[in-house]
Amino acid sequence: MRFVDVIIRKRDGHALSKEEIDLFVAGVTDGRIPDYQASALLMAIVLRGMTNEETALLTDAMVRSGERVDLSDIDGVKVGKHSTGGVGDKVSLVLAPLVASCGVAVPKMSGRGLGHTGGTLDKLESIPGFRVDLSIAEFKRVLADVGTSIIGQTTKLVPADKKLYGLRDVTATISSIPLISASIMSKKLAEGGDALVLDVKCGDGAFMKDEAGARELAATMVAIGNQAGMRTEAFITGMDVPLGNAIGNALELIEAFDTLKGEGPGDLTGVVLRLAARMLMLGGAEADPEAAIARARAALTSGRALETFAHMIERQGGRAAIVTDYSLLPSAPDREHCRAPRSGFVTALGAESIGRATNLLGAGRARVGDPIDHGVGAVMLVKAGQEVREGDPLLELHHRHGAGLHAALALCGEAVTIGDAPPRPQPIVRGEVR
Amino acid sequence: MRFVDVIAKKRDGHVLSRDEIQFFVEGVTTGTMPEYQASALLMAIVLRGMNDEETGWLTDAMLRSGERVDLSDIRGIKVGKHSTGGVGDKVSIVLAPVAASCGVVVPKMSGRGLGHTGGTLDKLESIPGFRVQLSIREFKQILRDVGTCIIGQTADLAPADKKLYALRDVTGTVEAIPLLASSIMSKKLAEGSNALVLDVKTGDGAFMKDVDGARALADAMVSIGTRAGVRTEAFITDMEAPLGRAIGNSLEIIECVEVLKGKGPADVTSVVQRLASRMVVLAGVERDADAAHARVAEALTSGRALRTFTRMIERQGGDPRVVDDPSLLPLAASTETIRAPRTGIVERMRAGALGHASNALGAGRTKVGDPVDHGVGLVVLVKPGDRVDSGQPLIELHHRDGKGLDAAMALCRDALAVGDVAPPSRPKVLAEIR
Repeated sequence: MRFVDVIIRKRDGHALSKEEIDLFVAGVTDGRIPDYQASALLMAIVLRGMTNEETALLTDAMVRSGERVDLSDIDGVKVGKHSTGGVGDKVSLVLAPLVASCGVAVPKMSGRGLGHTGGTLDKLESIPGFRVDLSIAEFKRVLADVGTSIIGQTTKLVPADKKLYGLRDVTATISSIPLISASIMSKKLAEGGDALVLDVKCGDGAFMKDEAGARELAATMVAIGNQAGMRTEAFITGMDVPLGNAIGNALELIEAFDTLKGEGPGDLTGVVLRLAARMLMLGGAEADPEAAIARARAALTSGRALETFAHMIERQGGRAAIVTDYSLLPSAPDREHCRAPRSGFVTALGAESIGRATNLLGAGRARVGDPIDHGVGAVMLVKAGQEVREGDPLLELHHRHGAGLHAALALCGEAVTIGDAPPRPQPIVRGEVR
Repeated sequence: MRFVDVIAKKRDGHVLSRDEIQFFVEGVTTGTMPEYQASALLMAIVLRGMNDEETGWLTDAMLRSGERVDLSDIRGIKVGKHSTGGVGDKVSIVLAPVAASCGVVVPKMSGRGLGHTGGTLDKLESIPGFRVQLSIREFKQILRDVGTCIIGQTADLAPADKKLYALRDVTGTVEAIPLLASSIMSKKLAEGSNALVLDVKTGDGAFMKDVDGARALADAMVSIGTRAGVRTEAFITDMEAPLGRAIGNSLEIIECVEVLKGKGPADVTSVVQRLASRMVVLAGVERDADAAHARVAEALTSGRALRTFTRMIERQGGDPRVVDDPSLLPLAASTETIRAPRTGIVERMRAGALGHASNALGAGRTKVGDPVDHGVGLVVLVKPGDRVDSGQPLIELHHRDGKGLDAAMALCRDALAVGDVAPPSRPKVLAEIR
């Protein structure tokens, strides 16, 4: 088989066979297929698409390009969770300990922030001493003892994805539902969970700007997971405004702790409870949705979920006391407010602009490997729909000696729209795919 | 400007600006644009297309990537000719001396055969001593003295096309009208003619299998030439069956001489006359189509065209006696004949398969740089629509001691069909685009 013929078949709109997809993924992984051929095929896939079957074959070939974590010696149904990424998205930090405290094991491999979205690993690393680079053996021990562990992805899982992603990034071939689905799902399948709950974000601050696209991505990933024998469900949640009030690493961690104490923002708590309930059901801990929600809520109010988080932090090298003593976390020395330019109703708090603003303050990175400042960020003082008066503070920026402040303030100004009437309220959970 | 943004723009179906196209071509030529980005953009162009303006800019940028032959010090209107390639297509070798003998200056840079189609340079090199690698100075001197000269393309013309073509060949991005048209036209414009006649072949033995595709390619090339100030016209000619009777290098030279003596096959002669007449008009030698036709006919019957050919051979180092003594040409001694399996009508005579058969005997090459055997080939003794008796010779194969003979005979049998139904008669010239 000549690889150029595989490219031509996809260019002409045909479905690729298992052999052709295997050749592609194996060739990209071991370097036999030159980058210029791989990128031509990627562009043909972006423009011609892939059937669900092809996408599943691609995912499977990518899983087989590397190692697969074996969690079979850990009791019970292991339920994973993945978010497509957003601004202020600290759901995993709350959800993992919450679900684990209800008796369902939650193995979690997370990523770092890039572009305007934050990363779970960066947020956890706000905790002095916290280690995200555990070995698989350590990861499994923490998982067995605590019920959850959150670490970084190892390089041994899905090496094909790393190569393909690097190439897609520079050839404008990121935006393709089959390629995004296969990239995410190959990693989730390699992580060895038995079931998976996906949080597909849609809106201004998400990768998928519109709900139809998010729904298609969710349906594709759910189909891949189920076909591979991993029970998979997805939620489509709104990301037009940042989730919760805090954006920035230590600030988000504090908000996660507050939520685990039952004192978090309503939108965040709502999403966490919805996802937790599904994970409890997939994990076999509850059969009834109402009972599952009640159990998750009880874990928040009883403090059990927070206890589990503290336990996890301790086992991963941090101090448990940090969940009550926030002064142990890094913070930025300076504050500045973004204020309402006029009186009216807050009609938009553009998540992407606010995410980029906190990046400029130092909370995120423009390129892989850039250092970040865990203390800086933003706290939203108002929610969309709220009535404000001219000059009211809308956002509190936590900055370090003015670094990036001027540009961040300008971006926040762009993010905020004040109108004469309140916007139509939108539910945060837009849909579910099972 | 970033390459990835240019790729994304074309991926999303937008029109690229002149600057963006220039940036792309310069990046490819200088190597600042990595091949994996170039191939992604090429695939996006194949699937999203380019409008006439973009194609014109692309051609211009490729043209400007190298040198341009300056023929302004040669008097008169220089009229170039290009064929998209076919089987048995020896038109250029006859046309150039015919038009030159009528007073048109015909500078001609040709290519070598690849795949099932032959190449003008390979055919001319059948003539002992004939040199196709002349310097531009020698080329111009012969043009002045003889009126025509046929040489190989120099490496200095449109180097961007060379790089892009190599990449297109291995990334499934050859078949796109804007890319084909700009590739051909950048080279033709670099050759420095004032006007150009294109012979766009269509049918089984041509690159463009259907008339619509050929017309689109012809339209695109005529538009590019006209925009660039070179008066360009195109003929769409049939390549379902081979042109003339001879396929193979020496065999085709023999046939060319016959046509120049007024004794050639009617189809070759008529195509040559049609194209030559237009070249005579474009050069301003004649205003009227009938007068041009009469002048061309006279050049053939008077022997003037043959004398010009003989002079060109002589000036390019070849043995001019070949025009009177074909035995001076290398010709394989062994022959084999394919006979009619039954009495009936020749329903089909597929040019593509016959081209492959001639290649199997050694007349062509599968890879650039392969050696060719100038002495082997086919002589097709009948035309589609001819009535034949069982056992009547249909094709004569000239082979070198049986090399490739079995495969060639099988291909010839495949190419032929003798039945009861006369095929619809199809004119050789299907359309003209001015």
